[in-house]
Amino acid sequence: MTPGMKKYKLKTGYTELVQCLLQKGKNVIAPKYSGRTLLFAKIDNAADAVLPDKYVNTVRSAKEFMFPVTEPIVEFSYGNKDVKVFDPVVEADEKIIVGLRPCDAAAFTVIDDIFNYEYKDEFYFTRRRNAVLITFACETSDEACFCTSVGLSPESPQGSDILFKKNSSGTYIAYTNSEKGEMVIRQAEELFEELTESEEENNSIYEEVSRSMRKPLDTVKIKEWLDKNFESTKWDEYASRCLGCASCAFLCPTCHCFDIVDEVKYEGGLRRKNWDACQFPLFTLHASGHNPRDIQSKRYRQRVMHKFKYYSDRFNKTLCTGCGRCVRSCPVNLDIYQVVSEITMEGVENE
Amino acid sequence: MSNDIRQIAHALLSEGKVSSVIGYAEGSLKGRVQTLIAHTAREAEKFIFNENCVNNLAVYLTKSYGLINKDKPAAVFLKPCDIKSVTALIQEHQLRREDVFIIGLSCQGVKNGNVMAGKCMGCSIHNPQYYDAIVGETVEEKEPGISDPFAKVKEIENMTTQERWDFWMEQFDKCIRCYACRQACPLCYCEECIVDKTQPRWIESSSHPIGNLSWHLIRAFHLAGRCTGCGECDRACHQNIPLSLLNMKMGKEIFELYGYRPGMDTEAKPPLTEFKMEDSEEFIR
Amino acid sequence: MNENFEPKIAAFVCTWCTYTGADLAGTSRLKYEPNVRVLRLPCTGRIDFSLVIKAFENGADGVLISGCHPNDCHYNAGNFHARRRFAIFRKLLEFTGIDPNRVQFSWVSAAEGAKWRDVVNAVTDEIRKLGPFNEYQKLIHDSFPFRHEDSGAEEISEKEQVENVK
Repeated sequence: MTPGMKKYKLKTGYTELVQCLLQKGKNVIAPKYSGRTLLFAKIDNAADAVLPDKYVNTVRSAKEFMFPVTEPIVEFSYGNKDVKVFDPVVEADEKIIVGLRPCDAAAFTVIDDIFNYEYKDEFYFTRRRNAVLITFACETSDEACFCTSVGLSPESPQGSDILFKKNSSGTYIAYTNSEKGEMVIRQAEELFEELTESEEENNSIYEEVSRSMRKPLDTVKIKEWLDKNFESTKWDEYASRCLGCASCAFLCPTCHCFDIVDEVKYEGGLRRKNWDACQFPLFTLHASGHNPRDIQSKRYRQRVMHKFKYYSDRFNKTLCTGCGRCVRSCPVNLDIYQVVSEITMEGVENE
Repeated sequence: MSNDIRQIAHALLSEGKVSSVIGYAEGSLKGRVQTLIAHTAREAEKFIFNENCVNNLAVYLTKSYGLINKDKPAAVFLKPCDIKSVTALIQEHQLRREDVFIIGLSCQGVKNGNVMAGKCMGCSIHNPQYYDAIVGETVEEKEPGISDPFAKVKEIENMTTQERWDFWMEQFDKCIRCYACRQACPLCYCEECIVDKTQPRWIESSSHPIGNLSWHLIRAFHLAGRCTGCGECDRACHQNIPLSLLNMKMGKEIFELYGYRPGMDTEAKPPLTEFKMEDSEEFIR
Repeated sequence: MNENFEPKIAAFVCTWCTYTGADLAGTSRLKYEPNVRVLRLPCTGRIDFSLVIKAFENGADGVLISGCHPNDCHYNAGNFHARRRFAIFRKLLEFTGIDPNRVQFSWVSAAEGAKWRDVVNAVTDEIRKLGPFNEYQKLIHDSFPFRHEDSGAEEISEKEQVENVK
């Protein structure tokens, strides 16, 4: 465990924890069903928050609470003579995001780097500062999960303010990882008690989950191959079946590309930052009409390169936390794990 | 059946009759299949067909994939329902008949995840009607599994105006404008989609209520009289927006008013590109 | 219903028949409701349903589409195509919870100045009865939450704007 982490025992269940936070007037975000779709949403009634042992993961990651699907970055309105420009108000209220998975919490620590690269994105960091991330270790996984392949595990504390794990008798133990996490524990102190030395903490379930997952990837070897194979017929082969739908990028907790558009209505308007994806031809279309990534194989290559090479060149991190959303959502089952493990297999030519 | 599939793919490729064969291969997840585009006879052994082959491979016959307009046709494995999409593409001059070699597959319904796909519930054609070659035994034609394929559409029709509005607003609110519905659709083949046009900007690309509503209205209407009901939009939508309900409603109205069903006849004119003098005009003052 | 409510109606008309008919209504000094904003297009066949959506997006409470009578189309068949398209489009609006009566359709010829007056009066009356299109206006409001001068928000000075760019 990371030094400085403190441990507490949760005396109640998950719903009571959510209930308690709500009673304290907290803004709680947790996985909740909208029809058949499990999404992070504001919780008004603790019973709506789906229990962490009842899902593998949400359809969309929690990145939209730091980096929304669409957000205004400038507001403007026409006066009598001139245009007035305003900074939008970024909601700075505290959000407690409960029920995250380790892969999603870790994703924030990965994309923090890019949002702080050359220019600090205050829209992102204002929300980031005001969000408390409360993670629940995974008691189940599905076939698409591969966090263990990219250096994480079903119980990684990376990025979480508090990580909850069940001990073998089914009691949740909270491991705080930051002052923000400690604060939440203090605010809900009636639910927690200090963990005594003698108490059982371990639970083999997390190791079992790890073992059931896909075999670890050799990210070093992958990068070596990518370093040498910007031009490879492999890209055509993989991309030939890609529909270019970008479900992978939209659901990815680490994909962070956006488009900027101006929208005008009546006597004013907004400049907005919208999610965008490298899988669209429009993403790189120049005003001249030239498109450097004019075919899908170049766009698919970009996706894989960005995840396993470019990001690692720049920040020494893999832009993937193995949440498996891209694998689950791809309509044609183009599986990035399969792709990157295949390219590192013996016999795949280095061109 | 998988043997027959491999045989025909192998024969077509080794005899040089086709430039490629588009079919299904084992997926990486339980219950999922992958697309395999084979260019050599050696690859043909990976082809399969089973109850998980829900994908409509007709989407690969649109121009952007570069598999058509070659000196030889592209062969593609198609279920009876998928053949309708090819028919529609030929009808709309997106595909020349001689550019495609249709290998029809008899089908008793496929699964989407663990359950039978929605499109199969109301299906009444289990054997290919229009093909160049056919694989597998003819299966018994059976009545649709559900009595009324439009039951869900009717359920919404029976709501009040306000209830319908609330229902769709809740659905569209989930939309994150990834356009997976468009990309998965074999008939959304426009090289530049109206939603990507910026001069002028017809549909706001931001995921806000106005942009989402306009996108879904326009998507549904652009498919009116064209959608063959393959359900790929529904399957591609990870937010589970019931997109095909809008398409089904359009199909239902087109049939009631103009007696037309899409994807049945390569020579027929799509209903919104033609007219009859006596068309109903009860709504016109 | 608010009796004082004056609906905004966008009228998309064809240049050959209805526009000329509306012109005739004007030159004949016929009085009619001032709620319609006439937008002239070459033919009803040119009136894309996206224009109707755009009208609602810009705050219209209703839309009127009007062109030549059947067999009178300057381009022979534009109005026949439009008739099919709008028959279906109305069904889509209805299905998504928009009252199809907010989109009205009429045939008004170049000689029918009086019919134009009657159509406009009747349509205005009907939309007035339906009331303001609050549902759509709420969407506009929710989608465009920009501030105005009078909201007391702090404006970014020109100097700051320049600095931000740097």
